[in-house]
Amino acid sequence: MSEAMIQARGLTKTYKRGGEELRVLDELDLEVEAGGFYALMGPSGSGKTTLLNLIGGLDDATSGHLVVDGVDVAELTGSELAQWRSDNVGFVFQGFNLIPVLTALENVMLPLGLTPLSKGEQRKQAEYALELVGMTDRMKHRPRQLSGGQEQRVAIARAIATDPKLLLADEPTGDLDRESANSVLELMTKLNSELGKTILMVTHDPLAADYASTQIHLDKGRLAQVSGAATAK
Amino acid sequence: MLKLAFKNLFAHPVRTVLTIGALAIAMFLVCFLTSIATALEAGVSSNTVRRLWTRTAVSLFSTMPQNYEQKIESLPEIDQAVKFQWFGGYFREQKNFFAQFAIEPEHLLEVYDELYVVDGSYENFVADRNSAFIGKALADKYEWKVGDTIPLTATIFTKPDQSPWEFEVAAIYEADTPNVDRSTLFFHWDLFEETVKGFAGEAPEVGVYLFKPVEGADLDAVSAQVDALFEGGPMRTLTTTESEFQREFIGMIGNLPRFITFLGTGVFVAILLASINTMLMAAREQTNDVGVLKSLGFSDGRVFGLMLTQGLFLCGIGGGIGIALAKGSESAFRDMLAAQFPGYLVADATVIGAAVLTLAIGLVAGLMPALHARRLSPVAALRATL
Repeated sequence: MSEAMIQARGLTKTYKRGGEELRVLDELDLEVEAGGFYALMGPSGSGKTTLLNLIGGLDDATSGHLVVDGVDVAELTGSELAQWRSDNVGFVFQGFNLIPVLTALENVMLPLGLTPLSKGEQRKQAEYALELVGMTDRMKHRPRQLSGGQEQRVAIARAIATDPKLLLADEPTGDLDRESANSVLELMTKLNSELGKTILMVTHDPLAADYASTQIHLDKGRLAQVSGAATAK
Repeated sequence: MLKLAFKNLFAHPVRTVLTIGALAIAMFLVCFLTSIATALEAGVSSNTVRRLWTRTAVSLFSTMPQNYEQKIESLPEIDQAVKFQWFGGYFREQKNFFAQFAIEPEHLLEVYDELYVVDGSYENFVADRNSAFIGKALADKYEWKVGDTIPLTATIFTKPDQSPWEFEVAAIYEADTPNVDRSTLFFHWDLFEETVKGFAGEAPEVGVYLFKPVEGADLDAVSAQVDALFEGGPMRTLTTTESEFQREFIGMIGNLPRFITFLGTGVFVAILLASINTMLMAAREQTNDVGVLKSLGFSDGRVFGLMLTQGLFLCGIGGGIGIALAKGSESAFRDMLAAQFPGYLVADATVIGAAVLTLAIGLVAGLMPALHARRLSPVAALRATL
């Protein structure tokens, strides 16, 4: 049996809005195995993106325990958390979020600047990542010169450039047409099956969710249902 | 990081170029105005010449009898006094205005021994009562050379037929010290007196007496002795050192150094606000990028550094251009302003001061957005919509 990549116990996240407490995640228990491809589904406001942000160390839980790849992220200081993100997590966003003033290659090299690699090694690694996503011929293009599907491919290359174990994707195909979406999903499947990346993907799209081996459904901040092959609990 | 900071800065090239242009102009003005103030101050404070000026105690516009000269020279500490009278004419058009003095050529170099002839002959100037002795800056400005005739239209000592006074250039002078005006025309007192007496019926009086007390004489004591000579009139005098005289002369047009400093401060504050505004706009547009960078593993400190670097780049480029412009145009302005501000110089201290000012503007302009970016949570930054 595979070891757990993510273990959440009693994970709770609340926000104060207009003097009222909003409980976005409510005592959530979840376990995600390393090497799995998970689709995180549920209605708007069910806590999908919040859970993704907590797992990625972008936000703090109000209470509960969250261990990612053996690290209790709540124990890390701000700079340790940043370094941990750089080493272990790759993010893919719905709006691609490429830096508009940089070329595709420069965007992919950005996270590599945080590693001890030399400039030449960074470039080589970024070119390899772009090759993996089939964007070698567009590496000198700026984001505005690329289609949505191409931008998302570059964003995925950036996410995997530092070779993280965990990929967190928030509606990665939300802004894409069907054809581009399928192409991106096939790429993510390939990253999961061939490179062993653990992928947690938030999506509203059942067709996208079908690419994942396991579908996790959230409702009102709680685990509502788990379906598919893997053993999210 | 540096590359990203630089590229972010030029994400909106027109806005950035305009801000850089404004910064360049502002920093040029700061350097220029400081140099003007420095030139004024240098002319006064660096003047260690042991030369005394006697004028009336009433004002610079009043005159003294000619026989004061003998009385001043009667003091044992004074060998030779020289009469100076402001002529106040202009060359062809009123805008071509410069200093002209009627003086006694035989003794001018005794009190102005820092002058030296670069063209022509001083002996010819002394020998020819219709000749003039002019500064190098003046000669360069109007392309006058030895032998040329300069017609001057008088505004005070106007001839009855309105004809101009004419002087032939006999020699051109230069000086190594900043306190000497290189844009002055000197001409013969004798010619001046004879001509004025011819149409006014009486000899002109004297505006200022200049003299150098003998070595070792106490300047304050000599000044007091001179003024004591004329305590009973007909016109009381005020004798001061040359630097004090210059200080009073500058004071006649108001507190110019303070006014210049005030202007410079205004320019500084205006450009500081403009730079902060540009940086805040840039930072607002980069909010989402800040979220992306933090999600990629960039620490708060790195993001802070990125925003601060942008402010420093912006101000460094603009300020650097301004300082380079000021330094590059130094010789042109020195020639152009030779009459009003002899010794105009963009000093090293001015350049260093302007560079420090540029750095300070960059830091302040970059600090606000940098602190904001540092504090911003990645989730809030990623949610930001513009």
